[in-house]
Amino acid sequence: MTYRILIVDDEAEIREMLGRHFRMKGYEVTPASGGAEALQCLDKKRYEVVVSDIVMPGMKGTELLQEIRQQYPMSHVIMITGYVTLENALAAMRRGADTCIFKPFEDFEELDGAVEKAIEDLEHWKRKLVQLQGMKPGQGGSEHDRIVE
Amino acid sequence: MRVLIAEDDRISQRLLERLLEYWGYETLSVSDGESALQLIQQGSPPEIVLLDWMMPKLDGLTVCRRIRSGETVIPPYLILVTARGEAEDIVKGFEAGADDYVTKPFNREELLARIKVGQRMVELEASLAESNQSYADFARRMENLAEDRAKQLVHADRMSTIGILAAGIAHEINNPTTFISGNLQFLEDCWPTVRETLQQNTETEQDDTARHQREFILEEFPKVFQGIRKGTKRIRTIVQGLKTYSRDDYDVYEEVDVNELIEQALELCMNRLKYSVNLEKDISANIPKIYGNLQQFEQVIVNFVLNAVDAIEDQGEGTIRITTEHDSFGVSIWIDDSGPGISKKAKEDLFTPFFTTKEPGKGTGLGLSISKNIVEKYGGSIEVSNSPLGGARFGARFPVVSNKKGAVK
Repeated sequence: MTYRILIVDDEAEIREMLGRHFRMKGYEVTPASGGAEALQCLDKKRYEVVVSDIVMPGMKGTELLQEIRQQYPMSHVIMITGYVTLENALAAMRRGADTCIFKPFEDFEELDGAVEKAIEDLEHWKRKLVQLQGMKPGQGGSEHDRIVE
Repeated sequence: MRVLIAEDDRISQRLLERLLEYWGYETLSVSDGESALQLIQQGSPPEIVLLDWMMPKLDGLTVCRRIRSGETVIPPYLILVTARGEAEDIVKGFEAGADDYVTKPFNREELLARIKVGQRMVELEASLAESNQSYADFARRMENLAEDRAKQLVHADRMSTIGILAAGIAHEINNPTTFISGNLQFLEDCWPTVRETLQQNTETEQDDTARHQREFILEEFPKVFQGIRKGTKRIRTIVQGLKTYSRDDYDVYEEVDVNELIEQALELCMNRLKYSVNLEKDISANIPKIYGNLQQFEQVIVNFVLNAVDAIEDQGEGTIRITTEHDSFGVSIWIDDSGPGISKKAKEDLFTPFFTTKEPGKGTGLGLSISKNIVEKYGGSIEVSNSPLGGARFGARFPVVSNKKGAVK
């Protein structure tokens, strides 16, 4: 299946670059230029992974992260920031990001690793739910529907 | 106090000599104006001169004029001795530059009184000159001090400006660097596919020029990638260096064991140390702990060590010696190398941001200025000198925990 990645960054070049990279790897990529746009996208489609910048005009990446955690708990969030400060790293951690990647990065190893881990985690739960289905538990939850489709 | 007697009349000369010696003065006698002038213009002239008006060769008046015209460095106190008592003559004598006059035949008491005035004047002048000298010295010292302070201020100002700019610049550069290296990686990822296609295409190409061009592209593209990669890597190193100027990044302070710190720092440098360096350690046990941020301390040590390695590698092989010492005030960490040492000129700029003696691309010129900032932040100091090993000796001195805890700026 094709996994979806939502890329949130106020800088077009970064969006394009990340998009190109992940499309090449076979992901379906949607770019968003800010937190508000990202939430609109999330409202329309399910994204396995959201890759978001922290420092952006308007809604900050960490605020978006909080929203996603509350509204779309199954989406994994990976934060990226050029402002390498303890404050940013702690905010990302406390609000439940998978990880926080510091710019500039030399290659995609860390980012790819984080995305793969997120997908793996989702796959793991998908397997669990399939297993559960096989056991015929009697009722399926909405979360289950979201994951297995 | 020496008195010169310039008098052509033998009897008067002898009389004056005896009197003056009786009063406790040292005397010198000459019989004409020219000899008097010569004596006065020599290295250590007498302090008081008794000048007869009427003398052979040069008369007293002329001698006075010549002395006052600036030919003499230290003019003595001039007393004109004259038989002419008219007011007109006296005025003439003063105009010629005499300080005082005595009329012949002279009264002993008067002569003594006038010589004493002369003595007082000479002493006063001497003490004035002395205090002038000390004022001049003081002024010069203050000037030097002011200049030093001004230099320090300019330096401090430059440092703080760079500090503020640096954090901003670092962040601004981050994004473009990220999409340059990101896009580069995309190209590199695509390259195998492109290469394969191009290779197949080249094999079947009939036209020589077109074939050569494709071969050229196949050969050059990997180098282009490498070139861009190198560039972004260098930018990243600089940005990383600049970021350490923004202070807020480090707010975890702890008690740090110096020997452990050194081991950890060496661990980080291992890949550079293992080839051309003979490492000696002279670590003193039971060293007191220092207080601060471990990463920052580590950064300082790593910096010193890597500089030493760079210096040694220029020469082929060599020794690095790490020494720790402590006394009741602080802990010192010394890093000696057997490299070529630091030139006198380079020493002045060593801690200026972006100053480097390394080849372009090898050093950012930020290492030592950052190290200095860090060490001073913890109330310590950096010392640079020549090493007994022949190269440079860098030392960082930190206050021990009991002295400085909580005093971090």
